[in-house]
Amino acid sequence: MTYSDAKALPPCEFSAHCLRLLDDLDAPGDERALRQALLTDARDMQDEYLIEKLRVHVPDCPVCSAKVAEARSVRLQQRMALRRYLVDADSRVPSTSERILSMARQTSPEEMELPSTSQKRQRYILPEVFVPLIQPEGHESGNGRSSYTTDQQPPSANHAGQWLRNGFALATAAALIFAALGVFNHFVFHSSTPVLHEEAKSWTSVIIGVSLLSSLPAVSKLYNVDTASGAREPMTTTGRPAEETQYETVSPDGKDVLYHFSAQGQIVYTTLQLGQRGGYVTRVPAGGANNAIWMDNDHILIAFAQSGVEEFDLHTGTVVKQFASLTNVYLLFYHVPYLYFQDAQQRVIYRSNLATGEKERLMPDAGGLYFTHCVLNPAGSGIYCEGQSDKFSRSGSDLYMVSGDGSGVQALSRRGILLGFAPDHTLLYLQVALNNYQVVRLGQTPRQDRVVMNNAAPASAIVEAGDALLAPDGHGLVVQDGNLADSMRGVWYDDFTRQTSRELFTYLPGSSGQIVGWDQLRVNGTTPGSGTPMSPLQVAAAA
Amino acid sequence: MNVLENEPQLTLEACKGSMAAFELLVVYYEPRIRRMLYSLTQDSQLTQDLCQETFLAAYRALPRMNGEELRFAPWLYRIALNQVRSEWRRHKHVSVIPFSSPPGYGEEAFDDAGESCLVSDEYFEEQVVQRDLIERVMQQLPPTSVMCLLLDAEGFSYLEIAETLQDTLSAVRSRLSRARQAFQRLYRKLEEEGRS
Repeated sequence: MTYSDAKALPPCEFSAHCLRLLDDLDAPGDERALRQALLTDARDMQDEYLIEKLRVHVPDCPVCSAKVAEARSVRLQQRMALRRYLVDADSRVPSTSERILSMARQTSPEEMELPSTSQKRQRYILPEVFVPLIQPEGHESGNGRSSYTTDQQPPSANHAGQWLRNGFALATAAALIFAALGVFNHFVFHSSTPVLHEEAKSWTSVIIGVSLLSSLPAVSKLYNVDTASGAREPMTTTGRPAEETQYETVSPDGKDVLYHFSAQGQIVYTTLQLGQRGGYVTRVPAGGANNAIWMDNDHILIAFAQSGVEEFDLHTGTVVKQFASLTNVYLLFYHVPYLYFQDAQQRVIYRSNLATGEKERLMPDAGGLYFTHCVLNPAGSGIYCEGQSDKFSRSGSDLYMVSGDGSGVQALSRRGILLGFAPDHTLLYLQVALNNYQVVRLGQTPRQDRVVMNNAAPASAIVEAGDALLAPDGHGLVVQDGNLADSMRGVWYDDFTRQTSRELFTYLPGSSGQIVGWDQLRVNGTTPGSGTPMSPLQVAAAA
Repeated sequence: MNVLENEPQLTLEACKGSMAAFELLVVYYEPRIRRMLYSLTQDSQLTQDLCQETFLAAYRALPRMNGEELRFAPWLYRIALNQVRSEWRRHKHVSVIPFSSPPGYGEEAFDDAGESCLVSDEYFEEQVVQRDLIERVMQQLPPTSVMCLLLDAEGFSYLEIAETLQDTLSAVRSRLSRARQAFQRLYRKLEEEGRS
């Protein structure tokens, strides 16, 4: 039967399922058995039932038979085309095997080895619900809560695989429970005994954009997470398509978030507060803008590719000023009266006095280096940057400093991730040192550097810029586990004053997050300087 | 997916620190990971960097993995795809949104089209060999859909794709089915535009 014959037939209610489950219908028996043995998701189980039903239905249904035959043909053609496409890609990029093996052979264990299993923090999957099933060795009993300390003994290495496997299955089950509650809740919490601070801190929570990649389409939502208790609440009632949403930064007063998303071929810039009222700052054609930053709490700056930088007033929605000469730049920060920015290639740093229009070049083009992450000290007198070669590993960056007026550039002879500034305005950075991450205070010389905190991210094999955010008042750090080889990635809060470290939550498989910034918006149920822990079920009920 | 002979044994030995085993895994999988990365980034230099990062991340992590249970291929591809995602996020200001979907070109645009998208014609096979057309189609599909299609083309089963993308089987089924439809429709549209 040809496809044109099939089109003339009346529709069949199973046809759509035939196409979606085409590969399953064609799967060999052993793969089906394996698949059925591993099923944990209710929707997967429903699909299995449907597949068995289709096996009986399709041979007797002329419509479905024709659709399946046609779909097989298209699938085959697409696979062949994509296969050729992949093979063609082979010839377009030189092999890296030698380089990989050379680095693996030559790199010393200190440089290559990451925090080992014995140093990993324990992860507790919805402890109130699942402790009896997954309680690891050394896990304290009782209320099912646990707080991590750096000298606590984690599960043994022999149990790591079992632990992860159980974790995956239980996390999936947990997701189903929460889905049933109608909650977009893809954190897996580790509820800990709250840490009481001697003094109330104003920056006590962080905003995190969580993307659920396994949904269709992938959805992203903002959450506010209290660092003392781990309690959190959604900041938006509905999610946005994750692949089309980018969060920029939190406002200087910590009460709003700047972000953009794409809609109908345009990029819409808005803030959390504006967005909640259905408003936005501006819409630009896709690719028309590079990035945006906060100027102050009421104004933002957007860098347009062609028309330069524009200052917007958030209250009136109008352009206050246009800086047409600053085309195709990437904005770094604003410190009255200077706007600091880079060329789009991130190789040179400039600043422009927005009052006079005067433009200065601060950091020269340093050959093969590009600067991906920079911070400005609170006085506006010095810029620190991570310099990266585009030919070598980006897992570590050399640190550079340039004076705010461009009078000098200095290689600091340190490697690490720039964090920000301590209360005394000295620079803090994160460095890898013999199997753990240390927060280090920059001294005049490397010998004078001082470790502020050890084991700042013991479970994170890879921490990148953007995955470690220092509180604006310098009291602590939130770190996201960037271990791409690890399916269970967590977020931790390090309190420098207490020298404590605690896991705030763990992402479920299929979800990821972006730490947008510290904020001063209270999470419901918490008070300044104290943490009122909520169990996951309490949180779900509240949501 | 067709795996390397003795892959479970090699994986086990690599987890125990055998450089020889790791070398064999690199030799077999490096071209595959490299072409996957290039198909997603279209950037030779970036592909080399990400490929290197992928294997070094795996090398660092292997001693911590349970070699008896580790399924090397999905795990390695997962690292690679996460590297790509991380790179997109890191350099979001340089190329604002990789694989952005112009209006009406995203997966959602195909919801209403349903099965009619799957209509094939006798000229299809000739059309699909045109690499640049495929590249343009891929650039207009959502990234996760592209990953699904490429993993499928590499011979991954649904289970392996789900494991790689850390997704449910049900989500992979739907995503792949929609991606195929989207691919087909985009391809035909672009091809028609090219003719006119």
